[in-house]
Amino acid sequence: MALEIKNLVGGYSQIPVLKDVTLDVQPGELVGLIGLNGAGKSTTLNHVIGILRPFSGSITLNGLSLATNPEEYKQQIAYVPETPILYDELTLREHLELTMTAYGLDPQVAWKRAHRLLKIFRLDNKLDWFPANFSKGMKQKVMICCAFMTDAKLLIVDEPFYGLDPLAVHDLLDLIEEKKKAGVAVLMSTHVLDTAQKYCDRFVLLAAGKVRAHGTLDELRKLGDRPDESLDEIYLHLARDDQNE
Amino acid sequence: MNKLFAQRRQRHFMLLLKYWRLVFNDHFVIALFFLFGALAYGYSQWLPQLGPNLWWSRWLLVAWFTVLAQLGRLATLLERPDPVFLLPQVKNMQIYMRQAGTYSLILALLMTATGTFVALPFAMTTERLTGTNIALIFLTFLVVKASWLRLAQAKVSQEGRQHLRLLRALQWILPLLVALACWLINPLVGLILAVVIEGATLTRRLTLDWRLAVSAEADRMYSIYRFFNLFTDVPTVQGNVKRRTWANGLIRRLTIAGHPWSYLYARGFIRNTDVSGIVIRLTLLAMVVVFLVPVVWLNSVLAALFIYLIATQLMPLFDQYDGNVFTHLYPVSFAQRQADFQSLLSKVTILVAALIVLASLGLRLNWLQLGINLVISIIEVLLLTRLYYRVRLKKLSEEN
Repeated sequence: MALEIKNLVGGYSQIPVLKDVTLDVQPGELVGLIGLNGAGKSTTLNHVIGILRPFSGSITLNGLSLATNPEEYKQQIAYVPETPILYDELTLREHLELTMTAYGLDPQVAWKRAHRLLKIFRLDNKLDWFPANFSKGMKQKVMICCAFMTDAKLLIVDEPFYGLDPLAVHDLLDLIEEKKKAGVAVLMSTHVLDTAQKYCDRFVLLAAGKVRAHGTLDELRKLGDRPDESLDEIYLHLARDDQNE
Repeated sequence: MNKLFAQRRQRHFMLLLKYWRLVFNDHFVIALFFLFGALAYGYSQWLPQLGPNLWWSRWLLVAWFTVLAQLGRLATLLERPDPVFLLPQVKNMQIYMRQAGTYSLILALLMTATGTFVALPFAMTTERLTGTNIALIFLTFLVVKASWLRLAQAKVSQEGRQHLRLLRALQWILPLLVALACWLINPLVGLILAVVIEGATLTRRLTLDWRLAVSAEADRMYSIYRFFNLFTDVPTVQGNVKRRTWANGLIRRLTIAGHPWSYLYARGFIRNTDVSGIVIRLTLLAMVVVFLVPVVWLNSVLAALFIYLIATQLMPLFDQYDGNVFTHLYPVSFAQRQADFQSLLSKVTILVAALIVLASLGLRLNWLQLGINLVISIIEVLLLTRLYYRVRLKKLSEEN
């Protein structure tokens, strides 16, 4: 069991955004976190990476929790944020170096991985540039390189497809596939449902801070009694039902 | 739409008021008062030593008034979203810009008058000035400032866009010409020239260039924020970044291998023009001051004061990166981060103190002064690193 969230209640201020969220991600599995704007996807991810503290409930990663073993817990996580976040003062090379230092990676091994990733995303000739001046898509690629270079057991990927060119989307999906094969658990939030349908092993549908439904595509289909619908259609039905309630 | 500028001005004043209140609450201001006091005292001591007919006095006045004309920029109070939201308002924007022009002019005239007032004692010592002359000088440079602002308006117009370099040059050349005429020939000639120039810059209507205007205003606001940032944390100030490859050696020295926070702080400190800028400027100023001040006790007090001031200016770097989520993700303890920051602070403070002590040798090679300042600064640096930084960091971490 990699990531396990149990009865999580949490949010930004006193008012809980998440109400009793329970989900898990197994090693080598890609779980898609799906929901409308404001459903609580990013809030859930922020709890997992430790930016927010749960009001109640627990989050454990391979048995470790943030409260008891903060450093070991963080060591296992790599994160690709929804909006790229970069240091204005660091070059691309230094972003990678800083990540290596922070995670205590062996520079030789890590640089080998980094060069491969940079090549895939056509950033290998921009090592001495300040990525703060890059375009949105290129910044996103920098974030991906930093996260995928680590040995993290859990990858948190928040809405990764916006701003990426089609080639990069494809490459990213390949990289996720590769990580899965290496036994990494991946939790990804997204609105791009046809891609999610193709690549995710399981889905967690969030609505108004609660888990509305979860399971594989087939399980979701059974749940709504709609045998041949796509994820997109199932999701639209569920979302409309919620609005009518 | 006609009320927009008035609303903006109101909001701008409220903002300034808010920050001024913070400024006067800060101990940094006490130090500035000291510095201003020392400068004013020095100025008054210096004047009697000057005789009439010094060859350089007129040139100094020319330089002073040319630079003075550059103070007080065009305040349009435009904001980033304006080009999108106000795009259809073509006609009304001209009214808006006229109001902005008037507002800027009033502020600029106040600054020019103050600057002229400061220069007068010097001018009256070295030149023979009648009451009429003084009035003429005031008038001349007020007119010059008005023309300067008109050029500034042209710089953010579609008509002026192709001639940016020329306009920028004119903003220096025209005041220089007037200053030359005023001080080398006669104040009356200066005034006539200023009026002629004013007439020539009174051009036809200009169409606003949104892109230039918004970025010019952002620059202006940024420099205001940066000033306030000396005293208090201004959230909008993030500082510009310069690569400074020449400082790579220094960065390496400041970095502790294998420590991510040290890696980050060293680069942030050197490349962010905000923190390093203020440290460099204050250090240079301190070096000049201790180099020039001959009174031993005053020299030592100033040296100690400057080292303390510079030390306080380093603190905002500590939570500079709190907005970056990754700094919360690194598997590194908070104590480690504190230790790394303290190590950077110590290194920088020692370097700064060493430079200031070295400068206190002065023109006359006053070794005694250097010795005294050395002892004082060693004690001060020890106090700062052992006591002050520890207390401040503790306070900062409690806020987190």
